[in-house]
Amino acid sequence: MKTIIKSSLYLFALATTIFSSCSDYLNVQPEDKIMETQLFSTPQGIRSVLNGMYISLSGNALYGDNMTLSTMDILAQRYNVPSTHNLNKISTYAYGDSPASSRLETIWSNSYSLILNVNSFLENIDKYKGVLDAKTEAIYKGEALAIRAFMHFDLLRLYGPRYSTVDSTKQALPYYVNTQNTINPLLPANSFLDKVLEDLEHAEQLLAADAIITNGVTSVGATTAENFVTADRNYRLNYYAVLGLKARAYLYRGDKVNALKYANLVIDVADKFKWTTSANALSEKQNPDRVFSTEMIFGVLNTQLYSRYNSLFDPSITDKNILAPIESRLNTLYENNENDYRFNLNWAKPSTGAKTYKVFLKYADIVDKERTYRFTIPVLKISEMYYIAAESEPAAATGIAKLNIVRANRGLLPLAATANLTTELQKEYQKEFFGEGQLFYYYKRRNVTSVANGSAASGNVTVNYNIPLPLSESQYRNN
Amino acid sequence: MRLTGNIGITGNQNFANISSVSIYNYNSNVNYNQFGQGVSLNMLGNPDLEPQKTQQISTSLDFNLFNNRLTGYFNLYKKETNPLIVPVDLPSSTGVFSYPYNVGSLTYKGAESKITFFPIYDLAKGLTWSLGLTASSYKSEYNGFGDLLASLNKKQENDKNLVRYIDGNSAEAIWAIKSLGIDPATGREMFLTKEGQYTFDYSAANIANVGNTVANMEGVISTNLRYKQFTFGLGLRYRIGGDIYNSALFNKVENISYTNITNNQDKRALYERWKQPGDISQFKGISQTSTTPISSRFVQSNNTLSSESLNIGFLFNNEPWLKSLGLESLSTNFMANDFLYFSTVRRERGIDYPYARTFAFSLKASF
Repeated sequence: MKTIIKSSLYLFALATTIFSSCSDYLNVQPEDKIMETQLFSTPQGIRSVLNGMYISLSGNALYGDNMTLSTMDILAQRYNVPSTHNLNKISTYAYGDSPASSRLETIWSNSYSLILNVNSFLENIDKYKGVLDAKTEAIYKGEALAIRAFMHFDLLRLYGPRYSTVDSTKQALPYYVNTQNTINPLLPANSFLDKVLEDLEHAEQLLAADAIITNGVTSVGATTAENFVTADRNYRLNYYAVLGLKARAYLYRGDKVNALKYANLVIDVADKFKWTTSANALSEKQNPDRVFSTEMIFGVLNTQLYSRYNSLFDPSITDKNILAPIESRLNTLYENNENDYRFNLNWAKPSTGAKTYKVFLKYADIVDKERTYRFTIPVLKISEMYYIAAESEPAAATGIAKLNIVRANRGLLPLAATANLTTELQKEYQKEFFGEGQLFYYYKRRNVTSVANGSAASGNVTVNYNIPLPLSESQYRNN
Repeated sequence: MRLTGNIGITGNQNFANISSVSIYNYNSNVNYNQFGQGVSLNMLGNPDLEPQKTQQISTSLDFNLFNNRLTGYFNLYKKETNPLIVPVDLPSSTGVFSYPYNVGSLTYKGAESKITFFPIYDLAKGLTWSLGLTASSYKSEYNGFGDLLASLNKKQENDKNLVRYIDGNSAEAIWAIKSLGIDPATGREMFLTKEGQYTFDYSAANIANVGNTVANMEGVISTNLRYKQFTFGLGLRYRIGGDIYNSALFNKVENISYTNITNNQDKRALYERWKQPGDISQFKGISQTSTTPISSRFVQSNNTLSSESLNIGFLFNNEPWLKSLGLESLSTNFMANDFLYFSTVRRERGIDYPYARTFAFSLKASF
């Protein structure tokens, strides 16, 4: 009896010692996922969340392909997409049919998914304080807010109403500033734009100590934590990118005074965003910088860019799939001026004879794989700042002068001061933004309803700017 | 006769990963930039979520009458889950696709029974014949939602069933817009709105309850005959009532996009779709390439009768030739499982999972 009591006491003592240290033993972290608590407890973790957002932004679903190379430019009638082409339904504005419906759906859901990531990031930075120093925290928050404003703004430009008409008070899209499980109402376009500008204003204040202001755009050296906030600033939403976005947003709203103000703020530091050289545009045959990366204020790095080139623009692709304009249309667009850097550099008939017309070379790979401007797609360039300034100048003659600065750096002769600013500006937009997706927004903003038909040698089409909200959104709303 | 009852509470069973903190995934290895890799949000955390609790009560009556000639049981049960975790799909602008809420309750009430009856039970002659029937039926009902989810509805994909969470509705109800068929003049589908009007336009506001996937009753009818050394058994599975959504028709005949028209398609897409005014057809016009939304046209009632098992056997024992082979007994059996299928819905198994009628024959010898 005594031994039974003794042994059970020993057993009991052993059990209590084991189980008291057990609470952590039962706590197992998953190995293939990372919890928010682990991620936001180290600076590297927080860095990877912010970097993840830029990687999503640069993906094929967003600025790596859809918003720049393909969908947006097809909507602007850039390419020859006849009824035999796979993407015909996009150029004929058949928004209910695939592939138009699925691509627009992809843009919408990926954009808002990224917005959720941004909101979650901002909330968590505030929740898990003490990991970052105040300076870095301000830069991260500023960039995150700028990403949020940027995504929302482009969604507005795509799905929203033509702003200059009475539609600007019609319900357009929802704006999200929190992670939440409730639905935000559809805001009218003017309130939506107010929120965009509010976010950009807040971002501008937080980015006041951005390294780009003092150091300019520097290259990524050895990977150190310090590099993340100081290097390659033009691949991130930096201080000047925020100012540039503000200029874009104000111009979209028709507020020329503010648009001019912010465009000029960037033009004042134009030496940070150097013009491309004629050597690069005309003589460099092996490794030309076709995207004019030195002029870039904000751009994305898409590691899938060259495989996208092979699927979209390469001369060996069948006519059913290739994105190339009708040659006569292309020549009219560039006014048959082979001196234009953009025409000379980016368009050529393939030497293999695979196609009889000129194909788009901007996103073709180069020989030297070490160049930093590989995989780059520009989203905001200094030339656009000059265009915004030209359009917003009260006197047309000063506007023409601004246009001439850009023209001089594109190998073109200056315009006479009496030239028609509107026509010349439209021509510049058409020449400059091939493969960057900005032309559709320009047409929409200027209410250009009749555009040259990209799929026929002559004649116009009426652009349909009424893009419906995708089904994944409208099917859940009662309004 | 025996009467039993039991009651119990279970927690989360067969549940998906839901976390109270957010979870991140590394971006795939082809997506990176000059700064390295990144992570993105995989699941948004829900810190206030309570686990589900299900309370089950059941009672059963076992009986054995007429000297074992009639046996069986009846079983009644009720399962109530309260609070329920409802994964609700939100509009894509929230960035969240399936957000779990603690709201409402779900009650399942059902009955099961099994009866076996021996019309002939003559052990002296070695002849017995039995008939058996199993039956089960259940119903589910939501409660406690009120207006909370009025603007939020659960949905999976554009072409799958829509499920609604409204008090009193069943969890297995099929929700789709009521269709009046294809207009012979235009080849477009006509829908019925909530107010009873006819319209060509699809609107998610007109979606109504058009069916329920749960059967009124299902079970197995079986019969077993034994005469001396010969045995015969047959089981048939039946299902009465209940609807099903025919996705094969939806995908193969109707939803062919403009780009896919150049590929080979199902024959019915050409022959059975509407081609010119005056055609009376079940499927919309051949030139319409926009996506068909789900409508009651594709919801069909699903009554089936299928083979469950078939077994014919003969046992050789006490035969003179067995001894010469050195065997004690030899049993031969012929079995089949899937050989019969009757249904009110035409099932298309496709080329990935064709219907196979399998038959087997076995010989068992004991020494």
